Amino acid sequence: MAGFPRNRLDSRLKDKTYSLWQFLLNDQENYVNPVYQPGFSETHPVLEPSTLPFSFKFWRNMYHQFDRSMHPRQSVLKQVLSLKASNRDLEKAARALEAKLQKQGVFLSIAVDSKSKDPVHPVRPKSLILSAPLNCKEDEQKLSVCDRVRTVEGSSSAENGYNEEEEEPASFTKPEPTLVSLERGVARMTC
Amino acid sequence: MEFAELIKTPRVDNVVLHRPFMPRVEGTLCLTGHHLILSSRQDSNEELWLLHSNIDSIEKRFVGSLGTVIVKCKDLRIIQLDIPGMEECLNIASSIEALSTLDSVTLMYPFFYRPMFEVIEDGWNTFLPEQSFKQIESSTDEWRLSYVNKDFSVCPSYPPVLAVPKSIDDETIRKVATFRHAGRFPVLSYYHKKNGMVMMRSGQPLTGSNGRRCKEDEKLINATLRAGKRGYIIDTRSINVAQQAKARGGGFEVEAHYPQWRRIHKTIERSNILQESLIKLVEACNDQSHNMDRWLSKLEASNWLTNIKEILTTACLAAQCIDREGASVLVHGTEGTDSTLQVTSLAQIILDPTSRTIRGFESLVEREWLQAGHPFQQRCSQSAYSNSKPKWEAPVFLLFLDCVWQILRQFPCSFQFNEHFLILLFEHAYASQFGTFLGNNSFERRKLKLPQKTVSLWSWVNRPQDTERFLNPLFEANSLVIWPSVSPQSLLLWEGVFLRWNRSSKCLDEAYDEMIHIIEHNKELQSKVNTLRRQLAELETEDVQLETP
Repeated sequence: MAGFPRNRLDSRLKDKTYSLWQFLLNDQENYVNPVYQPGFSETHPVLEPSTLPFSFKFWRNMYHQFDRSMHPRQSVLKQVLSLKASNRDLEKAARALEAKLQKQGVFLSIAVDSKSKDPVHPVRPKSLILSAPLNCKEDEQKLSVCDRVRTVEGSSSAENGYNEEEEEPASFTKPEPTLVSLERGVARMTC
Repeated sequence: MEFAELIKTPRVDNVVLHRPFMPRVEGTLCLTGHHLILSSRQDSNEELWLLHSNIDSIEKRFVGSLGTVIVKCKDLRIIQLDIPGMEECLNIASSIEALSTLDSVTLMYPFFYRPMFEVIEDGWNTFLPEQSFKQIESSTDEWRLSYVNKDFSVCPSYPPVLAVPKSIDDETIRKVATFRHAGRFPVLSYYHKKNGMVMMRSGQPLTGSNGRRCKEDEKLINATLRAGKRGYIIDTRSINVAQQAKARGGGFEVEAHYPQWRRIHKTIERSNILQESLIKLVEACNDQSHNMDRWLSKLEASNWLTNIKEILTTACLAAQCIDREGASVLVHGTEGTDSTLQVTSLAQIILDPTSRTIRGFESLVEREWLQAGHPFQQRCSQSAYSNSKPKWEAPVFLLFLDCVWQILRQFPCSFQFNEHFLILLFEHAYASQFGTFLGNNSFERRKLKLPQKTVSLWSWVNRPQDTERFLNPLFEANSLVIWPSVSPQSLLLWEGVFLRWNRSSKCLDEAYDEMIHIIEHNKELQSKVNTLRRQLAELETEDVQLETP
């Protein structure tokens, strides 16, 4: 609001209104580019966009924001963002588990890189009983948090109206994997 | 015929090679019977091996005594060779022209290629009709395999083994074949497990201006209808074009004779128009004038995206009839070898999740394109840069791959393969060391003894170490029918093919690699967490054991 800095001062916007930037900063996670790496600024310090005519694309997500059926039905962006969030959660979980194991007197280093895939054996002799079934519930609860709505494309799966498409009886559809929210739409037919 | 006769100058030194987005290389140029090779002899990276069969046309230019040969390839790449010496340059140019315009199929490279890898699974035997029929047999007993065409006498462009309704005998089929264009009687293309409905394809009925009818033809397609239910006939030609076909002995199914079938006409362009469309599109992409208006108007004038939309819409229509309306569908155009196959194969991508796996897609291409008799040899003999007037050439298969790419973009997690796989198939359809895309139909492939004398593309692609780079890291299998959007704003120009040599994809590739890294890291973390949990659980149960008396 207000054209010039002087006008802003005069109308005392700072006291009477909230700043957009704070609002956006609080919500940062939804606006982050998952493949951004600070390291790229070394290799590409100056961006040189191509100005050949075919490089310019129609910004469909902007100009057809609310035309749900026009956008890709599965979002790569959402998928990668939720995987990145899942990575953070998994790292926390791994650290917590390692701490617990350490308390039990077990020291291990399971390197998560391509060099060593086999975990180091624990100090205690291996138990003769079969390993207890994994308790997956806790994991699933944690991971389902990542499935929360991303507003990067300006839409939520509830708004999309895809629920009306779920008229198929349950026996025809497999349960969806936790991290993917699959959306379906109808092609525009005229015949 | 000795290749040596055609090579005027087999070798020239100090040739400079210019390739898009790669540094120039100076080295020795060699011409063999099948390849143009340039090697700097220093670094194995700096080597170009180009199949002569990949060359569409060449241009010669002279500045003083330095000649330049510009090679335009069928995969849309343009490379430039600076050749010192006018005589050498002219010799090289005419040799290349002769070697790249050889007529006989048996002179093509696949007959001479010796693979450097061991063939573990022979691609020639991986997708036989009997095997794909087993899938259908397990779901229904309404169909049978017929060997009526085993010596290709009933229909020369069909395979020797075909699926037909069980109630129809071979004699009936012979009669039906006389009523359909080029003997292409209706055959089973796809069986939809969900509701038992089927999709068939055929050539046009030879109704002619007399309104001929064939009771056996009616019996055959009526055999696929449920009691009291209708079927749909999707004619890929507009009603006008179909009417005109009558004058030439063809036509469409008359309502009076096919009362249970509703006919729908679409307007997929004829093959020769499609070739023009491709030529104009590629020309638009190569325009260096930096003018936005020119780019947009040339793109529009090519009509490429309009063609994409039309084909996709028709495929969606066919899929809708089968899945939503629960009706059987018959698809045909004129010959039943071009637009028909685009529609039936795309409809399967929409309807059938197995077609979206790598093996499933290969099987789809084998069944609906290669065995179905799409004339690859004719259609892919020239691409966009050809100087000669197109006769039979048309980018029908490329349009199909483009449509698959459109759906892949809209459903990035629903396909086991990525864009590179589609681009690979495009390249090999036009020029290849493998024999898969040679010939026009099963009959010709058998006559040429391709399975014995050449290696199949599938033999190479299906090796685990080679399949890896075609896998889609985002793939999550689902069992849904996927409905693409066909609104113009959803359809994009396939940059991976048409702008591949016009702009650098380095930054896009880096972003893609970063994405793969995130996905791989996620898998590793999941596995790490699972291992830790298991160990913790083991220890906790042991503790409990120790505590119990």
